Amino acid sequence: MNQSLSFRRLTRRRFIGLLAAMGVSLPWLAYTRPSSRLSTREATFYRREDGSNR
Amino acid sequence: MNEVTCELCPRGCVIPEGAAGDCRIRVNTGGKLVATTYGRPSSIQIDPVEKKPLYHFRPTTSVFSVATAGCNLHCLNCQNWQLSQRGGEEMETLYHLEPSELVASAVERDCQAIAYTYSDPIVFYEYAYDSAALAHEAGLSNIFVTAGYINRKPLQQICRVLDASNTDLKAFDDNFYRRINGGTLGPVLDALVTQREEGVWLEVTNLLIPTLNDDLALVRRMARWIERNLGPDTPLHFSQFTPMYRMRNLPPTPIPTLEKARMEALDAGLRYVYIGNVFGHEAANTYCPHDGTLLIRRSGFHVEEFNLTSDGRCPTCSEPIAGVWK
Repeated sequence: MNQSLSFRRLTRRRFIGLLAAMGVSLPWLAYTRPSSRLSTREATFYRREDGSNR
Repeated sequence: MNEVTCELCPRGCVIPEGAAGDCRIRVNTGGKLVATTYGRPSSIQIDPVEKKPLYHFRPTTSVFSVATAGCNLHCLNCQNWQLSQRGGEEMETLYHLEPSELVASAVERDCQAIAYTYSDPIVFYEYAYDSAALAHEAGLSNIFVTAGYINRKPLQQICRVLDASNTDLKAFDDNFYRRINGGTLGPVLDALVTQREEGVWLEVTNLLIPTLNDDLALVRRMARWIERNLGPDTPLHFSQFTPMYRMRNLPPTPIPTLEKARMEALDAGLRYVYIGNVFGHEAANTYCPHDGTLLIRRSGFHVEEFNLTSDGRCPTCSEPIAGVWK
């Protein structure tokens, strides 16, 4: 998931995004599903219901 | 219920489980607040420092600029709304770049600084903080380009790893903030003062929007406040508005309006006042506030002429020019 990316790869992703925006269906190129694309890193500066702070 | 209260910005969002805060990217997952765009920037670019704009901070520095989705303001005239008014899951482009990889990428491309910019770095606070700490270890500077809508405590903490900031002061009018930006003025003024107190090099940008915040009396009050609270050496940039996003009904700011605003700010005692977004205007140059000598001539984002002495003084009268020049 936390792969290091070259700029070549970023360009490839942009290209795929452009094709998708044009309505071209390329499901086999969808590299991840939205849920797994995001980070699960805990945030700072928040308060839980029990009053504990982060 | 498992609610959490985000204490990062003045909104103080109370977020139920499974929902996001107003910024769209801080999500309550099982009673834990998650920074969903940590290590997931959606915009990466290399810019000159003049584009931030920072005119008194290491001119010609090449800046690795990074942003994630999300914002805690909702300006009707946002220039980056495709990025700022979306959540991470809505972005077509979502790079995977942990802080160490971000810093390595900047070094690899010969950048001397990293800017946390485009949307508002406040909402990707943890990512910006961790990256900035590593950037310092690698000898890079850190630049915040922000609207300053943040609570004092987190701002004080991140100031320890920041070197320079361009902070938007969108209008010296709380009503404007409420109507146009979905925020309030007070916290932004506090953030400006905090950054100054914490020793971050600070420049201020004011985008002048015809009929909404271009009243010269308002400009005068803002300039006087800056002069008294941040100091006369604080550079102020008046930027030209371009019709954008949900504010396409107004024309671009006329150049004479920008020029009059600049004169008001100079009269109020500010020593370095610029006009931005107007290509080739002479008020994009830096002049000595003592004798008017041309010190830095800019064309767009490029520095065409640099006449300061090696210790940051006017070559004619030796007046010290405020800034970070090395």
